[in-house]
Amino acid sequence: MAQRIEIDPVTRIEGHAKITIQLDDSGNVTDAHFHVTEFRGFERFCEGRPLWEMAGITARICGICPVSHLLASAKAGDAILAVDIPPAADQLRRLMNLGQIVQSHALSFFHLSAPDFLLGMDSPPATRNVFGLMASDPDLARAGIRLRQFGQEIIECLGGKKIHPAWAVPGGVRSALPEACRQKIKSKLPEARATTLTALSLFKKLIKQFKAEAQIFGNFPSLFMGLVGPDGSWEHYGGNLRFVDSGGNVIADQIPAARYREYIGEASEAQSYLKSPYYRPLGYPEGIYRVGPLARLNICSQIGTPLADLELSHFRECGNGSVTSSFFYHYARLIEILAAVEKIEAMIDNPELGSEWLRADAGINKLEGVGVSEAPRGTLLHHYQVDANGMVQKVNLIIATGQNNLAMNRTVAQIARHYVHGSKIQEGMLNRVEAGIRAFDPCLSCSTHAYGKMPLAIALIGPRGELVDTASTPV
Amino acid sequence: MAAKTLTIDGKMVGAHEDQTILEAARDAGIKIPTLCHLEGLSDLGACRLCLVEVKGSNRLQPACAIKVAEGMEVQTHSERLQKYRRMILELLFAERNHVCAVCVSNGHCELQNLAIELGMDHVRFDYRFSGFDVDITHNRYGLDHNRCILCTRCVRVCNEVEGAHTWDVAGRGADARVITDLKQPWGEADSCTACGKCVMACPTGALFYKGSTVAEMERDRTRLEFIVTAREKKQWIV
Amino acid sequence: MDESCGKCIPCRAGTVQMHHLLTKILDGKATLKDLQKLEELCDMVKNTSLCGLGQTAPNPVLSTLRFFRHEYLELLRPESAPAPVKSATTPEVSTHA
Repeated sequence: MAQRIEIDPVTRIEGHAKITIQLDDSGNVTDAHFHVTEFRGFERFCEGRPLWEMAGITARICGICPVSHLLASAKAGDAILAVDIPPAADQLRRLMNLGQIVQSHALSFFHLSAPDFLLGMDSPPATRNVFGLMASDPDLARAGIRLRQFGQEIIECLGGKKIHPAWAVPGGVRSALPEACRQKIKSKLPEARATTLTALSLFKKLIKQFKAEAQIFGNFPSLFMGLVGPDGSWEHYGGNLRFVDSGGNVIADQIPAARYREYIGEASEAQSYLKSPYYRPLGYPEGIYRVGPLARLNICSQIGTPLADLELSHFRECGNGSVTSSFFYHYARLIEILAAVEKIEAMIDNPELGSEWLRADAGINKLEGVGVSEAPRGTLLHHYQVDANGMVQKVNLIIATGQNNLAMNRTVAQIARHYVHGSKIQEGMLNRVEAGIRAFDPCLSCSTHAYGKMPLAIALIGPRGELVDTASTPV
Repeated sequence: MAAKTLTIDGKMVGAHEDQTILEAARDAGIKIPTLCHLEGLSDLGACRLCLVEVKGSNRLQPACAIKVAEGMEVQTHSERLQKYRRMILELLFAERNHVCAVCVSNGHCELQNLAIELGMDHVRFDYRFSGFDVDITHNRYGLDHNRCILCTRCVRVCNEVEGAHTWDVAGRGADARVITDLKQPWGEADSCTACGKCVMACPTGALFYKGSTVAEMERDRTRLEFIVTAREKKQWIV
Repeated sequence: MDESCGKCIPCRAGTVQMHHLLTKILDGKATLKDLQKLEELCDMVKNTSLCGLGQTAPNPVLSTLRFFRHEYLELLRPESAPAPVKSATTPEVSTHA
């Protein structure tokens, strides 16, 4: 008899979601979907607020990556004020975003995904978590937690608090990096670098062990999008958009954020609050593209720091043209932590970071502005329309996780087809489906503007729509 | 000028006869919560937070409006008063949208400080507000009715100190709003001198410097005190 | 509610909340907690309002609560009605969730 499996909630991701898997009469997977089930509505209730409050309000979308929203919002504000921000503000915003990349990537790898790799996909779920990791490899778990703390401290040093600092503002930033904080960050850099290198060498050993998963976990051709610098190098804050295909060919380059609409369309599906952006020239759903660490490493020509560039060359060997398996998001994430640490090392002695020239003062000079930043999970766009007084009239947010929606659906289907057979759910199989989602490190509270608890859930559904079996992990 | 002796919270206090209970308490180092009172402006007794118990009176008395008297016995922080004060704050928080997290005055707000001080950690009443207007038509200042508590400090400072009387109150009850001129957008209010005293006087994030971002709005009350002292005592102490 | 001038907070915001709580009770959506809240609110509005309007506005509520309390209780949501008095030795008394 045909069935539907429901995983509700999916665990160890940021936000609330479920997965449904449709089986036919002989117990084979016919379809699978990733659903985001809650709704937040930020785009609506930001209407009627003064432009200057937007960074502080939209940072509240997410507790994991508030900095990404803060920066995208501040940049949309810069565009509306029509100003070039002071060079020091640019450097400081970059420093905070690097801190954000370190802390969020460390969270994804060490806290959320490492238990799958180090304890095993089929290990008991009760201990397959960061606490189990702590029991089996306390040094690694501790180092991972400290690495995340390092990133958080950079954010705190600049913004006054680790979560939701309202520090970046239209026109610049509110404060410089205090000297004591600069020294503190500097003193912690060697440990951050060492932890990252340890994690990288560990992961490279694991790649052999997880060869099967690397083939099945969302391995399909798609486009990749992200920011690149003027010379095509890795970017996380400035630059313009680039699209690359799975053969590694650049198909659209140096697109200013303000022109995103010409390239990105947004589709909505009935079963999810996540919008599904697609590459407009190819249409929906053929215009599937991925963003985030995997995409950023696929689109860039180089990173620009020695160790990260060396790793990038190893990374490229995992694919032909572009690296197309979503399993390598984890690898890309670790390389990006290394890149972030190296970039912080390179900038931390820059006297500009203590500058007093931090904020360009201007009124409303344009009625529309788009800001873009690379969130840890991928490209984030904030698009505002304001009236002549600076009152926000319309808001459109394009979130990293939303852009990965089509790819996540395809990943779930691919993994389910490979691992799921018959009517009874095996826990290890469920976990592989979840791990496929975890590779993307989705942030659902951001992307759907969903609120609520954290976990994700699987459902087994018959051809007549009846629910046959469900499984979920306790919150 | 005759001196009066009274007891505040069991403490013997000396005061001038023209002082209010609030002033006498302040001089004695006893802080009575207030929201509508502001040094240098007339008092109106509207917020009801400074209510105190005076022995011999079965009504609670607003400390900002009652003059001291010989032998007066005042209780300023009884359990009953604190309970009423917390409830008044709850009513304010339920009346309009005081979401501190995204407010320009977060961390520098008298309403927020009082809630912390009095231990008002949650609101038991249902929120009654829908969206109120925000006026940022003025080129330097903004008004967010969502955060207004109708203390009327802006009305009084504009009338009594600046002398422009741009501000007033329109409507009644829950529909009352502070308005500029005859309810024109602030940017079109011709009587406004753009002096900014109303913004300096506001206890919450209702009036703000345009361009203020979340938690950035701090007020410099010393400017207001300087002007009031200069006007009343002809002393220009910067 | 329409009579409050809006100057003092207890009358301006308190009468609105009183009206809201009374409506909730009449709609059968209120709990015992709401009834207690209403009583506390009436006491506060009566004792802290600036003028006679706020000071007397709660009187009809307070007097009906005094003489017709059972009618209020009957309108509460069934699950929140006060539990029948049990002897102190009855074990269930302390085990309600």
